[in-house]
Amino acid sequence: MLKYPNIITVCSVILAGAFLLSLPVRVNSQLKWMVAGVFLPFLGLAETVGQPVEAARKLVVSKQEILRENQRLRRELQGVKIAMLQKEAVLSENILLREAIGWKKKQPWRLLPARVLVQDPSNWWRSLYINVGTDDGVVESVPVLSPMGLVGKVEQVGRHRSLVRLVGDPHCRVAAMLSKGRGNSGDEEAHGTIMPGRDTSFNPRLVYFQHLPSSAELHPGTKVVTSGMGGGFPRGIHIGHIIDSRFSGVGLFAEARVRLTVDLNRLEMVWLKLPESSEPQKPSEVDTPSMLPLP
Amino acid sequence: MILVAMASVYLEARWSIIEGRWRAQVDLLPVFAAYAALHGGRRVMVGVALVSGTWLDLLSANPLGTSLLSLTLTSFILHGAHEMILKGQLAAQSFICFSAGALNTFMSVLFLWGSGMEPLIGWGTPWQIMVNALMCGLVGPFLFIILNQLDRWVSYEPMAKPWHRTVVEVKRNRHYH
Repeated sequence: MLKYPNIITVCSVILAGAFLLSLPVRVNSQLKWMVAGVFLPFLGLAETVGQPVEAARKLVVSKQEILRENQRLRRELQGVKIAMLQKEAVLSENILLREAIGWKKKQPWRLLPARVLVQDPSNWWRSLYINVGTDDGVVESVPVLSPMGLVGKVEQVGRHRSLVRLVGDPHCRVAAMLSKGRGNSGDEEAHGTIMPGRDTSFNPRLVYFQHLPSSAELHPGTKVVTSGMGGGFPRGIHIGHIIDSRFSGVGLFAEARVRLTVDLNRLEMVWLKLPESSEPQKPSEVDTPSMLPLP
Repeated sequence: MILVAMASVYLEARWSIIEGRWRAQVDLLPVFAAYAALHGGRRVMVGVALVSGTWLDLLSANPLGTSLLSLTLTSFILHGAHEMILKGQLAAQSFICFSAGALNTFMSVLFLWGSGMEPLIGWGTPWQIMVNALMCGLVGPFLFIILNQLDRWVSYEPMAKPWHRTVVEVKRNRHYH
């Protein structure tokens, strides 16, 4: 049985834990960044040890596999080059039309590359840490992207690392709409919210598209993109495809299950869309095209 | 032991090997909590829960204090019965680690839910608790062997005291009286 000193220890720890959990989220996260400073040597050590291990793991990949990957990337690069040519023409046409109407010229996105440090080791969050922070110009709520589509948003920012909440996390809700392209014949845009559902805890690539009007045409395979409403995410970023749909409540709304285009478990690198006003204090270590045209 | 526990958490966070196939992330910290409960005292239990629990919270989106609470309670619950358990037996170790895995995950979710953090709970949660408990039960005895070995390497071995051996039977015969 528990002895008297043990009971006192347990009670003290319960009180300390309850106090920490009862703190407001912002205070708790600030405290967490402060404590992270104490663990900084361990984080540095883990990173230093982790990189050679990762490099050694990559050495095991067969030459045949590398050649296959190389061929695939060459094909993809050629496709992207052709698409860029087409986009450049559309962009110049867009600029001319904007000038003709007198609309303000849109600025290209300022993108910052970031390496994924660690994925969340818990089952009840979908998040990850990246290796950029306030020193690189990162601020809270910045959208995080990958070439495949939307990844999530930055929630907490430290000096050299940031916490990213992924799409499907209860703390990352995305205003979305059906893409006007192939598979959606309706004239009216159907807007809703992307949020986790019953199956998300089992399948991280499955999210729910909720609060849709019951008249929305929800065909399997229809593309779902960000709507830009609320200002959190820019309009038109690919999120996923509809798998199936049903009416919710008493038939006032419809909901659909959406399969995300990005495999969030296999992310190694992500891109942050920085706000136009934020200036990084030092240049990024990775040399990448920081100015990409709007889609 | 704390360093090994921290390394295991980092490995889980860096390479989620199990997650892709089993749809569940495995957390081996309960095994360390169980080891501390069976082989250590109050200070060891709180030390393991405090350092490795905080480390887990730092690498995760958990609010600070979640893992500290659940790991401390798990180790003290197991410590309450440590004198009754055959801690040298492989099956007993496996059962203890299985219980610790299930208990710790369940309590973590409960604390998060209770503090209004809205964790991701759904149909998959019981499955994830079960997978975590099973993995802890399977891996636990092997980790116990490693930790025992580490303990032997770093701890001081007391010298034998021949004048106070209770197991030696003194035989007397006609030559020795």
